[in-house]
Amino acid sequence: MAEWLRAARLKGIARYQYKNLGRLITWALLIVLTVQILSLLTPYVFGDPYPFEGIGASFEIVFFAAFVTGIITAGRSSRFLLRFGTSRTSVWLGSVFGQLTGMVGLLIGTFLLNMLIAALLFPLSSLLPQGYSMSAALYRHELTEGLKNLPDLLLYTLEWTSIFYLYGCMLRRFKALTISFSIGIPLMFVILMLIPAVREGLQVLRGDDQGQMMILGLKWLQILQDILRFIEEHWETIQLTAGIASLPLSYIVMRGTKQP
Amino acid sequence: MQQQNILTVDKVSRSFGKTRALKEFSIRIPRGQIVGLLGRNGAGKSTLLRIVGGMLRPNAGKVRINDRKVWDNARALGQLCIIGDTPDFGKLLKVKDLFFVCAGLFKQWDNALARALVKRFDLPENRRIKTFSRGMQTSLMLTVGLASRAPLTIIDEPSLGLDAVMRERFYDLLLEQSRKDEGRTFLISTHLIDEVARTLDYAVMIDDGKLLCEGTVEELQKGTLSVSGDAGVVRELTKGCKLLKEEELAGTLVRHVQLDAETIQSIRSDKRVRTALIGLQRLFVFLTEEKEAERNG
Repeated sequence: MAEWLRAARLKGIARYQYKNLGRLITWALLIVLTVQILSLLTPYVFGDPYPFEGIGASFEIVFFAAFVTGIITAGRSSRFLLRFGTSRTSVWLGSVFGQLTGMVGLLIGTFLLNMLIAALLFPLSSLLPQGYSMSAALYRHELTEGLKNLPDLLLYTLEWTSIFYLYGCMLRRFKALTISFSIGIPLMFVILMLIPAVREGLQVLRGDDQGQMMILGLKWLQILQDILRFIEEHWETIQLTAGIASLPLSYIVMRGTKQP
Repeated sequence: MQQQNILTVDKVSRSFGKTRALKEFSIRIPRGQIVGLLGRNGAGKSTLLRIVGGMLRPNAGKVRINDRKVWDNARALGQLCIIGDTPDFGKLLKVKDLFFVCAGLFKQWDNALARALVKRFDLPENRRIKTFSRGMQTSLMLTVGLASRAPLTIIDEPSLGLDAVMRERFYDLLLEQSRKDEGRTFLISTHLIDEVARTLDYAVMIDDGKLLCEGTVEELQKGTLSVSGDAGVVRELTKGCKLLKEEELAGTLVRHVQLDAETIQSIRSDKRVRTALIGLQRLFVFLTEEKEAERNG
């Protein structure tokens, strides 16, 4: 095992991820910081009070970053590392580890930035009380709430990072199929929602029994509603299962991908 | 005890659709030598190198580095540095970033050597890599290959994009590194045979996905001779030898032949004709044409 670890070039892969993901994460955090600072200026520019929304990590940013970096890591980065004759298992292991660490880092980074911005409200509230308000009690309360939500967000980050990495691997191996699937599934749902209305319209035009058609349409909508309700009720489990399943699947897909 | 051969390719076949790129190809690459993989464009060189580098899986056959199978095997691939014919730097921006990553990828990476090679290739260290010309990018990839000090260093078409001066500089550096790192093997794939010939210890010729011939450069050239002079004399002296090619120019006949050592001696001592060893490139051309003629019936 020790010999394998020495030969696996994991140090080099980690260094590549550090250079590549590190730069992207730094940019993402800088953008978040700039936006936060600009929003801090709202009371000065518009005279409205600062819209403080509490302390917490920005999961939306991590979600988007995981999607973009998942595709880059599974695509161009893997290609670069494999081209030097690095084993596929090493590249997969290094990529997954780099992605997960990077996205967790970004999540914690956005949390810390939020903490910092909230802390800045202390001096600002004494300078311009009508624009900013912050007290030690409020800060403590918001921080506690934010920290309470953090483990859930960390879990979601790990799940979605794995899912998006699998998506990146699929995109590299079966490009046309993956793109068709990504567009096709949402399109299928839209079409399924529209089917009862279209059928109803057609039957009305033909002069069929409208009451009967309406019942059929309602039944159809009921089925769709049941499916959506099931997904909603079991969303956490579905997300967790998909996240866990994504890891071995991404290895299988990546291992069999032809290297140009 | 170290294996005598660092790389073993055993009956490897690979097809792309209906095209058979490699047909039961077998070679053994001896340790500590500069080996040339010589062949025309589309002969199967790059396919073979991609299989050796673990980038492509063969349809049949085995590839082993230090007697370890190559496919997805970190221990075998850890011995290898492969430089492809298309420069690829991933998302890295600067030369120092590339060296930082390479120092982690290759166990024997020599940073001082990398810096020295950057100077030898006149590369601007502080410019963004993507602003480099094709020749500069190739030079940078060659720098990585040489500074990796990997026991088996494979370079696919090192001359692409390099001007004559840089190509010669690379061949000099190759010889220099080979002398310094005893036991290190270089496998250089190229179709510019004459250019690389002076650096090679061992040559493998490939044509149409099959092995044409292999051996040390001396071995390959040993049994061949170009004999020129009066047509009658040349014909008389080379009678019974295997004729590779015949050329006639203004009453002078040149016959390129394969023959045994004894006959070579007797022809060379004959003052009526001029003789010379057949160069590696010409030999390759003759052998390829012969095979082509065989294929075409």
